[in-house]
Amino acid sequence: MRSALRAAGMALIIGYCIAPFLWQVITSLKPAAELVSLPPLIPTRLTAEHYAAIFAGHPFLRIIGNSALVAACTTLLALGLGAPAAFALSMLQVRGRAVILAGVLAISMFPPVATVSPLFLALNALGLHDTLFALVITYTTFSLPLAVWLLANFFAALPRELYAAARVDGCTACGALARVVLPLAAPGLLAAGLLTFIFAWNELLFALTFTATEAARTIPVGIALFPGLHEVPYGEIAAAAVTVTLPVVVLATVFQRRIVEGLTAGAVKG
Amino acid sequence: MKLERELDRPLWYLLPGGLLLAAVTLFPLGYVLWLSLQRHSPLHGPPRFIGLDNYLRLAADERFWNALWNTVYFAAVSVALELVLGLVIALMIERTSRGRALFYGVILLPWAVPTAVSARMWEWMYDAQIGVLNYLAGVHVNWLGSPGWALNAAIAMDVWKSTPFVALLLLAGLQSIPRDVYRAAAVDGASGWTVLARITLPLLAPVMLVALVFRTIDAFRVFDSIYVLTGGGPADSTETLSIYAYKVLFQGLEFGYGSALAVSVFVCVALAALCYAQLMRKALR
Amino acid sequence: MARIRFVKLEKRYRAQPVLAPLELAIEDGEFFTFVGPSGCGKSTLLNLVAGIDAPDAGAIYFDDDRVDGLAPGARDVAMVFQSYALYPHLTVRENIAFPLRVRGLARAQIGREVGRVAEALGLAALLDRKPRELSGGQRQRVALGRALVRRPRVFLMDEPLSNLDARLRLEMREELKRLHETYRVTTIYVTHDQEEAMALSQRIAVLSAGCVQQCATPQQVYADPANLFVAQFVGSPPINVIGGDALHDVPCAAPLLARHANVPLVLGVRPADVEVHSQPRADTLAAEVTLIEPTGSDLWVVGRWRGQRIKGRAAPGASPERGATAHFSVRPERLYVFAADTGTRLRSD
Repeated sequence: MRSALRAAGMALIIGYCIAPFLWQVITSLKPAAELVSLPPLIPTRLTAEHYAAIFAGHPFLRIIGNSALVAACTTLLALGLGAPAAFALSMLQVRGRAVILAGVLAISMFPPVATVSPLFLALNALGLHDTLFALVITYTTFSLPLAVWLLANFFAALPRELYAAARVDGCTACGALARVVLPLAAPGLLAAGLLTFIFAWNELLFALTFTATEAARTIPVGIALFPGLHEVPYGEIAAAAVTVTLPVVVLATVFQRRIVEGLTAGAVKG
Repeated sequence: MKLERELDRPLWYLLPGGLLLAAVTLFPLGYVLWLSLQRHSPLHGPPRFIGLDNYLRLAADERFWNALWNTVYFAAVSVALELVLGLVIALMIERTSRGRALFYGVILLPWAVPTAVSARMWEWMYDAQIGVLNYLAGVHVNWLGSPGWALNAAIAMDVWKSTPFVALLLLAGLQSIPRDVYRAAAVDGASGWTVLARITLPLLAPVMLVALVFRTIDAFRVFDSIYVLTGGGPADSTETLSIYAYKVLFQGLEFGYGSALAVSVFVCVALAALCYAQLMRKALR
Repeated sequence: MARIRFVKLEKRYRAQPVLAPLELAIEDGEFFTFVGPSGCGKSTLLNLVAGIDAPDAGAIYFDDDRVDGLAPGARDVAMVFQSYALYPHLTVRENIAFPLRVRGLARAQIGREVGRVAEALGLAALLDRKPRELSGGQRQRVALGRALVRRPRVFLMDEPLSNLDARLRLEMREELKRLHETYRVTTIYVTHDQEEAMALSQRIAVLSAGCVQQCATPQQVYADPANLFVAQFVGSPPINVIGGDALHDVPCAAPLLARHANVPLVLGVRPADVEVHSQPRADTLAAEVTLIEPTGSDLWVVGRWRGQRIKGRAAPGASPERGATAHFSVRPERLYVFAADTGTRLRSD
């Protein structure tokens, strides 16, 4: 009896999480005529017209490409800058380490709206308005605190003597980082990378402010500003949403353990 | 065991990231404070220093207080709901052993998908005429169009999106409670509810506090979902501080006043964080 | 090979001294051990020699080269850690080859050296395994192999045997001694186990709270301790200590005590030098037996005499029982006299 209740509860939770997505999938496959009224819930026939529309009528492929490029660059940069910083904070002797880590964490709590206007003005002045580069710089910066904090936790969990052994064996600090610490912290790098990628993929406010045309537009902006004069083209929006959700579904399924590790790292110890 | 060989080198590792952080976060923060003390708008001629006038205007601005109230209400209700639901979910998952992998994958979806996309999905579900919610519930409510419902509808969406994250945090906390504590309780003859109230929850308190902090700070900063769902309407009933600040900055093009509003958001978040820091310090004793 | 010199070496931790100014010289090829209880500073000292930590004052010399300013990799030392510190992501072969790869040796040469060391340590069959697949003793050998492959100037060992079970520990002890006799590398060994220190070393330094109590050969430290701490730390079972008024009733002790009559004194005698008889003899003290410890080769008897605890070895044929009175005889030439306040050993010549 208990396990039946529990199974029902689990089904409920799963349903709760997935239902909106399911509805989007259904919507995206419904012919336009059937969209304007309910019933029918399930489409009588399936159609791919919406999917065709978003790629033909709007440069959606371009938008996806932009998001992918920005997210990938951000992830690489964030890891590239964050790993050495986390290494220094956890394994080398740095004065005021606790203060720095606390400060880094504090920066991750900034409301984006507080920094968006000066950044907007500065980027304009530098001629970087409406470029992907502006987004990469901004995203890297705002994902750096979390990446550093996550990686520092992972590094600190490694046995201390391994680093000393590598140094005695002849490595420089940098050599020890590359040959011993990073390979062993690979799960941490993966978790930090995934979280950074997802953050860059999902970000709206900065993308909205710093880009103007479809040349640099990313997915969240594209979806938010989906054109519609008199009636909102829900079918096409649904198709766009499904298309965009698929890579995230893949990432979340394949890497779910790493993502969860990253999200909960340090939270238990505070 | 620390290697003290490189007396200067730790800086080399920290410098690139540190410089970037300083340039893109600390510098703009200083600049936004400076902007908030000016009248800075292309519509009003050259920028002019006006001291604390923007803040005085803010204090008298009804729309500001409305936005503040909306933000506080949003944060309080959504975080409370997320905590309760998250706890229920976490407790349920902890008892189950099969299908965890599938579970994690599914539960991450609402969190992992761009908020803008989720907001669009919910906007479609909330539609007054052809939204599936009204259809399934057999009612005819204008969720996003009536001032009474709109903010709550936005809260519902945020809860859907964020509860999984809270559930995961709490689950990690649950899993770190040593099994022996439960065994001792069983030997002592404690009932299920007693165990929950007297043992599990107190031991989970630190993690709950962490979840509370993260979620409150995020809720105070909310922008994406409201921007897409309602744009701040109807009748400013869903206008939160971030939305209001954004409108003043980029639609009204008033960088001075908008900066003052942005600073107010920052102050709220900082205050919330400080409150929690105090709570945590007390809890640790 | 190197002769190691410590010149006024000091280490502090937040204004508290961890290592008092140390002046010591270790000969080329010598097996030297720092022994002492936990927290005495021996591991800190090893870290200073390795370069993992920097001293607050003083210098370390290898022959005529000053090394305390050099990075660990530049000092040509090899270290075996208490936890072995094997690289978990590398195979045994790669672990042993690691120091050579870092130095950029040719692959063929690395292969030769690794093979040589693997043969010497019996690891040839394990070369492709990962550390987690090995037993404690095997891991220890790999750690040794990684240190040996470099033919370093100095060998450092930080309690390498303390994670092994008792039997394995004794086996590995013999192995270490054999290795030292083969390779003759200057070795600094650190342990809290005084028996291990005595068995392995050519010279020992007994440390307590960062200060060297005595630096001498194992035999000297055992038979001629410099103070009460050394006498109590070295030797198993630990030395009997007799103090207070009962001193003057210890048979045959009077002449010894008279020589240092102006200072409060404490007497020490090792249990191995105390014989326990069932019948009274001349110059024995009678004590009530409180504990019997048969160890196979010896029968240790603990007695209570004038409020003091005294331990001795049963004479052949004697088998005292708990509660009975036994007679403990002490050889006067095996008595040690210490000053009661400072613990310094008062020698009679």
